[in-house]
This record gives sequence, structure tokens and C-alpha cells, in this order.
Amino acid sequence: MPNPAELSQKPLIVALHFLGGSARTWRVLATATAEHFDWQTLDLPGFGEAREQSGYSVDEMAAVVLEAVKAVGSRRWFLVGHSMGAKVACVVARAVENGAPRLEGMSGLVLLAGSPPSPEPMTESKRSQMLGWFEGDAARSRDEAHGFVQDNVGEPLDPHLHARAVDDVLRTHPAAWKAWLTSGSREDWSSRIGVLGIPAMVVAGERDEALGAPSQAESMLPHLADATLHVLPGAGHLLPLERAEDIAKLMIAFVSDQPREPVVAASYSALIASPRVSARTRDVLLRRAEGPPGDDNVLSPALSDTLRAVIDRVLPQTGPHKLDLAARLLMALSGPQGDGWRFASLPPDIEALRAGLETLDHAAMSQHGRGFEHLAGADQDKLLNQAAEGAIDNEVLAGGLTSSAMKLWFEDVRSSVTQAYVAHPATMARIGYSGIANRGEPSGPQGFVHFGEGIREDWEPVATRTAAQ
Amino acid sequence: MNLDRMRRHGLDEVVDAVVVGTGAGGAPLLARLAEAGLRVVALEAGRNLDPADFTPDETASIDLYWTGERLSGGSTPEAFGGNNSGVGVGGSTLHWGAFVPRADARDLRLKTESGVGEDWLLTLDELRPYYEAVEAFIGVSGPSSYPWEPSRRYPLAPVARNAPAEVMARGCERTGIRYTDAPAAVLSRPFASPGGAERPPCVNCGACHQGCFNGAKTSMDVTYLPRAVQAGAEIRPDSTVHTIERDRAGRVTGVVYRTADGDRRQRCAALILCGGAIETPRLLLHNGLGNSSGQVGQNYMAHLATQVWGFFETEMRMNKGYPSSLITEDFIRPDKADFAGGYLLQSLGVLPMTWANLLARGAGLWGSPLVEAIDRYNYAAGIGMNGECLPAADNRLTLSDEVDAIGVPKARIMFSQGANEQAMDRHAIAAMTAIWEAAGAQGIVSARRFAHTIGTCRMGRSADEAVVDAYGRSFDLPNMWICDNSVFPSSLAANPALTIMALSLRTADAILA
Ligand SMILES: Cc1cc2nc3c(=O)[nH]c(=O)nc-3n(C[C@H](O)[C@H](O)[C@H](O)COP(=O)(O)OP(=O)(O)OC[C@H]3O[C@@H](n4cnc5c(N)ncnc54)[C@H](O)[C@@H]3O)c2cc1C
Ligand code: SF4
Repeated sequence: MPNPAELSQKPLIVALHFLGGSARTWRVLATATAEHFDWQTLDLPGFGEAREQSGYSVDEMAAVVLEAVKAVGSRRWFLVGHSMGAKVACVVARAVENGAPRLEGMSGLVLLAGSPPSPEPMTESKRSQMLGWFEGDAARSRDEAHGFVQDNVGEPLDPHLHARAVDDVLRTHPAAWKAWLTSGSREDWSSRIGVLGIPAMVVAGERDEALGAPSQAESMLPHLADATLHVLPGAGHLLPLERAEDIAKLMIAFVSDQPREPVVAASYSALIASPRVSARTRDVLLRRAEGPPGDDNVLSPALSDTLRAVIDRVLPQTGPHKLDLAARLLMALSGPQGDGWRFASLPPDIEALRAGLETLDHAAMSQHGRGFEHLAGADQDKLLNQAAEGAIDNEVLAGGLTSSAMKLWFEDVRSSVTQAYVAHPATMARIGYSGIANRGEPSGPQGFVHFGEGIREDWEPVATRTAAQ
Repeated sequence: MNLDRMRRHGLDEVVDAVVVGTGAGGAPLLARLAEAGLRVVALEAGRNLDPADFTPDETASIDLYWTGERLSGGSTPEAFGGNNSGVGVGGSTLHWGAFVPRADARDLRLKTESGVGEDWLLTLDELRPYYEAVEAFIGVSGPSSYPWEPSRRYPLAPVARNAPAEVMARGCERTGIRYTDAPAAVLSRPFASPGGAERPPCVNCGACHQGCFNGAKTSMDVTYLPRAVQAGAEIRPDSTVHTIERDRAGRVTGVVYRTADGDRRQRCAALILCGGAIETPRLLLHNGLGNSSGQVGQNYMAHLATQVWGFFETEMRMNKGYPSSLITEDFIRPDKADFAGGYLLQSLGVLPMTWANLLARGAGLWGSPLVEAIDRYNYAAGIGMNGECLPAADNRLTLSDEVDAIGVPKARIMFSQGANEQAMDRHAIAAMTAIWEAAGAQGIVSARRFAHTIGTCRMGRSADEAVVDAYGRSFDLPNMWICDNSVFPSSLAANPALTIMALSLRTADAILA
């Protein structure tokens, strides 16, 4: 089965727990934010369900995370790390910024009471005390785990949560526990991580002794080019357990603050603003750059997901910022003004879109036992190729399209998606298109003076993304 | 265009002629009839636009396109809307490419020559004076000597070549193909039509298809229509004709048209339909008129307009300069042809959305090849063909069961390219590819496309075989005429608009005779 997180278009949160925690650490927070996010919560090696898994170094833990999120593809996702998990998160973020394949959709970093890239500030007495734990009998270990949780919270936890946290500590493999204390927490990643450009939110508990706000400001923030620090009054170190609601609010705001769509490059925005561009053209471009229209429920959520999956194959966009082509396409198709024609063998545009998506899903079900959006990219491409060749057999689905209609349907989809993409000023900037600036205000320059092979006027934009020959 | 001071006629007044449509077919005759003193009213479905509002933005300029829905069928359905159908005072010439080759004499006699297609009832010698009159009036730029008709003269020097024209010239040079500057209805210097205001020259903005903002490109609203209004014609925008009324004797007495304020009736002594090759037959079929031949809607044709694209190492920036500034007519009757007729080639600069759409539709690109091609927009240049399409019985326009906003059935157009077209397409793709290879292009890709809307009310000898006579007069209704792309009995290899304008002047002469 594909990861369930793949099934929707909500942003995906990948979460890494603290020393002694597990995937369960995030349960309350994930439930509180379920409407907004999908969660992929991991058990790091030696913890939770991964108790028997070895590989406790920061490097090895980061590798586990990179492997686990491989299927995210170009989806928009955020990485959250708590305490020990935060250090691992920074290493993963560095790998993504260095171009880790297929993970370019990472859009933000949330670090809760994070252990910094440099060696964690921890007194030797505390370290040796913790190293002494979990060596006696079960009852003693339970007391130690209880004490550990209690010492790390600002206010006592709800008893259920507390019990679960204690259980998690006890599930931890002793070797993993020791490895973090003796080496993981001491590894110095500061120069390897350097400064991360990704937008980040850092949260600290006011009563967190070792990793509170001062420590975050001193050791974490210097590694983040674009970060904000929030302090939760009265909170200790176990933030996701102590303050799930506060963090939920902060995360929802943080995620929604991150632009979804590509931002038009500053130099291109300046061109749009210049007198070379006519007022009407400028107005049209700025409105288009403002963002996609809201969801108007033209399609059912399921079909809308199928459409998005199709669009991701037809016009793959890389990077964290993607134009919402589905919303734009639906707006164009459901607007009052058509484009003057349609294929005679297809029903009216929106109806055709629905029927084609249903047919595609149906073909996916019958060939693979799952809907189109749940297929691997290569299988999706195979189906779309079948559509393009008029080879999708559809004798069974009532209201579905015939194979020859599917061929035309896919042509229409390619066309609408492409037009929505090229119309956006961010795409124009990307290709270095000067044609918006050819008919300025009567006062401004009009037309082109220099043109011909290899000739660029010096004000003309240059492609930000020139694929070489 | 400025209509503030035009003469106005009453609805009860029986005007001498009502002209439906103000495009390439309607405008020249409107001017000529008005000049001759006739009281003429043009009814135009579209708005009266101000060129100062034209934007090069491809999405926003959809207001220049006929967006009433048409149903396109057959095995090679043609795209309408922005691809070939305009609306507004000026019709499709508002956003046309202004590439104006004349018809080749052999194309007018295709049937005699090859046994297929149709002969026209007129010869090039009959058409030539009309071509010259149009070219002189609108101001056509072209080479000082036309390689395929050296005696031909153009009133204005050629417009500057853009990058695609330069590289196509290089490719032609290396492959031994003759080429020259395209005849273009675009001004290479300030110019005024007789009696008209001066228009400035082209400033190479490259967005002809989004409407020319300064009047350098010929469109009817800056050439024949101002002349018509000056001579007393009235133009009523936002007026869509849906009903043609007759008396018992079978003569047209007037038309009913829809405006924002409801229906209006204009009485007239003669009716001239110039709505283009889709709307004219649609109107006739809807009214059950003029079709004793059974030919209304038949023999729908579209030019083969396949394009071949190449990518270069140097930047082309093909959005700059007049888009189609180079032509070759060497393939009007090519060597080793396994088909009848022929085609011409033009260099192409196309704006990114139209271009990417063509790659997605016509070349079938998607996924990363599509994204990568789009990223290389500034490095691409194109060549396009305009090729003869034979009339065929299965290719036709009928009315569908669906109706439009004013209750007129939508047109359904069936179009399937035949063996002759397929053979020509192959030949042209090979020729264009060879030119690009010689010019040093990489990543060559061809995209199938069809252009223009032709036929459906063909001219001919009698009501047995045709809808109108050689002058555009209906065989069934003596005071009804047709003048637009629908009267073409065959497509010709040349792009149609210049020939439509020439025929328009000729029809006017016949009406006045
Ligand atoms: C993008 C594009 C590029 C082109 N490039 C070239 C080129 O480079 N060279 C060339 O030769 N040709 C070109 N053409 C084709 C050329 O524009 C047409 O062949 C020509 O304009 C057709 O003339 P027409 O009179 O038949 O119709 P149109 O020019 O289309 O005029 C028809 C008019 O009638 C109006 N009308 C229709 N029905 C009604 C009704 N019921 N009531 C009232 N009004 C009505 C329409 O609104 C329209 O204004 C191009 C066309 C397009 C769209
Ligand atoms: S390229 Fe020249 S003719 Fe065409 S729209 Fe621009 S100014 Fe007008």
C-alpha cells in the first residue's frame, strides 16, 4: 500500500520524536490538526515500534527519515522535530537543500525544544544520572521513566498522556538511549548544517532548563536564515505532550503563511510595474499572480484528487511552490465564457472532465486495484499513455468515456493545464518572457528596437531556469 | 473605432443593403457600396473595440475571439475560437496574422490540372486587379521582386525579419529553397489609405494575434470600415442576426437581430451575409434558406497548418518582431509530390501560451518533455505550412441539437483529413525538418494543426451544384449575397483573407452593376 499520506492534498507533516518518545508522541497534536494536515509520524531506530532497529547515530537516523519520506514525491510537506528529533530534522533539511532527490516539496521546518546541531548543552551529572537508568528491575525502571517525564514538563500531564509517555520511555531500547546520551547528543553538526534557508519556526518552553528560549536563540537560530521563535509560558521540555493545542495553532498559522505558489521573481515584478507594460496588462498579470481562486466544489473531493494527480503527471512542477493548476483549470472550465468550441464527441466541458476522470479511475481500479491517484508515478504515466493512444478500454463503466473520447479528453486536459501554467507570471519569469512589456503606456517605450538571432535588449528578462540544449 | 459621427438609419427605413459581419468579407464591400451612395447598415455580433485596450496577454485577449460554442468532430477535429474565429467590429482581422500571399493561378484550376478538387469560376487575371486594389488600399509590405511572380509589385518595402525568419532563411539558403520577405498587411512606414488617416509603422511588438494596438497592422477597423463610415455606412455592434425574413416572392425583406435590449428588425432591399464560413451557413440552415442545392454546410475545408519547431543554441526571442516575416512558395507544386495541389511555408514566431498549447495538443507533449520545452521558449523558432485541403463529402457543417444563448442551434463541424492531405502533410514535415536541420536546429518537433474555416456555401455555375454564383449571389434568393470564406469552392494554398477582400470588392462591383 502506498503511504496513506499520499492520498490527499493536505500538506504532509513528517514528525520526529524526542529521546524516549515515539510516533505516539504526536497523537494529540495530529488529531487536533487532522483537518489541516496529514501526518507521517516516525519511530526512530530504537524507539517505539522500531525498538529492535539499530543505527542510532544522527546520520543513521537521518537516513531512516530520508528513506521513509521518499514517497512524498513533489508533494508539499513540512518536517517537525522535537528535541532529539529536531537535530535529526536539521540534518534532513540540509540534505533536502542540497538536492536530495524527490524531496523538493519540503516547505518548512518546525523545531520544538530542539537539540541544536552543535553538541547539546547537558551537564555531566545529568548525563551520567540518565545513563544509570533502566538497569535495575522493572519497577525501578518505571519509577525512573516516571521521574524523567515528570522532570521534563512545566505542569503535570494529563494522567493518560503521562502513562503513555512513561510506556514509551520504557519501550526504548537501552542501547538507543545510551547512544544518544553518549554520542548522538554530542555530535557536532554545526558546520555541516551551516545555515538553512528553509522557513522555520522554533518553539521553546519557558521552563525548559537546557533547551529553552535562551539556548534556542544561541544555538539554533544562527543555523536558520528565516526563522521565528515562540516561547510557550509555563511549558517545560515535552512540548507536543504538554501543549498540543498551542502548537497546533502555531503550526496551522506557520503552514498557511508559507506561500504555496511560486512567488514572481522581484526583477520580473519590477518589469510588470514598469511603464513598458500597459495598465490593462499589468492589472491582468497582478490579479493572476494573486493566487488561485478558492475551492468552489466543482468536483467531488475524490475526483478533485484524481485531477490533481493527473496534473502532477502532465505538468510536473518541482520545488516547494506549485501553481494550483487544478483550481485555475476548474475556474476556466466553469466560468461563463467558453473558448469557442469543444470536441463533438465529448459532453460539455465540466461534464467531460468528470466523466474522463471517472473513466481513468475506473481503468486504474481494474488494472491495479486502486484509484489513479494511489498509483505509483510510472503506472500513472502508463495509464495516461493509454489514454493518449486511445487504448483505455471502457466497456463497463456507466457514463464513462469511450477509448477514442478519452484520447480527446486527454488532449483537452493537456491543453488546459498547459495554458493555466504558461499564463502565470511566475512561469513567464521562469522562461524569461519579454512579450508582456511590448506596449507600454503611450509615454513609455513601445515595441522592440533590437531583435533577431541572439539579440536581447538589455532590459529584457533572462530565463531564471534555462534548460540547456 | 470611432463611430460617434456616423450616419444612422431608421429600423423602418428600407436600407439598400444590410451587411452581416464586418470582417474580411464584409468590410471592403461595405465601404464600396457606401462610396457608391447606397444606404448600408452593417450588423456585427461583436463589440466595437478600442485598439488602445488591446493587451498582449494571451488569456485576456480572448475577447477578440468568437467564443460561442461549436462542436468539432470527425477524425481530425479542428480547433475554433482563438485558432481561427474572431468577433468584433473588424471580425477575425482584429487578431489575424496579416500574412497575405495571393492565390496561385494553378490552385484556381486544380481540378483541370489534377482531376481532384475544384476549379474556380474565375482566373487569376480576373482577380489580380482586385488584389492590387486591396494591397494598395490597406498598404501591403513585400519584397521588391516576388520570386514566384517577378512582375508583382508591393506598395511598401518589407517589414523587418525577426529571428525565426533569419534562421529559416539560413536553412533555405543551405537547402537550395527560394525564399523572400513575406507579403504582409503591416506597415513598414507611415501610410494612409486614400482618404484615410495616417497609420504609424509596425514597432515590432510581435503581438499581432492579440490585436494591433497602433494600427500598423491592417484590420478592417483601421482600413475599410473607417472609409465606409466616412462614406455614410452605419455599423451597429453588439447585434447578432438570427432571423432572415422574406416576402411571398421569396425576396429577403429584412433581418431580426438580438441586441442587449432585445430583438430589433432592420428592413432592407438586399442582404449580404459575411459572417464567415461557420456562422453564414449556420444562419442559413437555421432559417432554412438558400439551400435548394443542398450545398449549404457542405465541403467544409481547413488548411493544413502543421508546424515544425526547432530549438537553437542562440536566443530567438520569437515574441519580438512581426511574427511571419519570411515565405517560400517553392512547394506550391513540389517535386516528387504524391498528392494534388501544394503548400506554402512561413516562418513563425508565436507567443508562449499559443505555442505551448500547440505542443501539448498537436505534438502530444506532456510531463517533463513539455516542461523542458516550455523552459526553452526563448530558443525556439518555427516554420508553418499553409496547404491545400480538398473538398470532401464527409466534411460538413450541420446544426446540432444544442442551442446557444439566443436559441440558435450550435454548429457541428465534421472534419477528417483525407489521403491527399496526409500525403501533403508528410511531405511538408520532411521539407520543414530539412530546413531546420540545415539551419542547425536541435530537438525538432512537429505539431499537427489546421487553420481557417473554408467552404460551406460554395460558388458555382448553378443551383444544382452551388449556393452562390461566381459573384456571391444566391441562386435561390435574388437579393441575397454571400461574401466571406464560405464561398470558396476549394481552399487554395494561400492564406485566405486577401482573397476574401478581393472577392468582396468584386461582389460589390456586381451588386452595383
Ligand atoms: C489567429 C488568426 C490568424 C490568422 N492569420 C491569417 C493570416 O495571416 N492571413 C490570412 O489570410 N488569414 C488569416 N486568418 C484568417 C482570416 O482572418 C480569415 O480568413 C478572414 O478574416 C475571414 O473573413 P470572413 O469575412 O470570412 O470572416 P470574419 O473575418 O471572421 O468576419 C466575420 C464577422 O461576422 C460576424 N458575425 C458572424 N455571425 C454573425 C451574426 N449572426 N450576426 C452578426 N455578425 C455576425 C463575426 O462577429 C465577425 O466579426 C487568421 C485568422 C486567425 C483567427
Ligand atoms: S508586430 Fe507590428 S503589426 Fe503586429 S501588432 Fe505589433 S506593431 Fe502591430
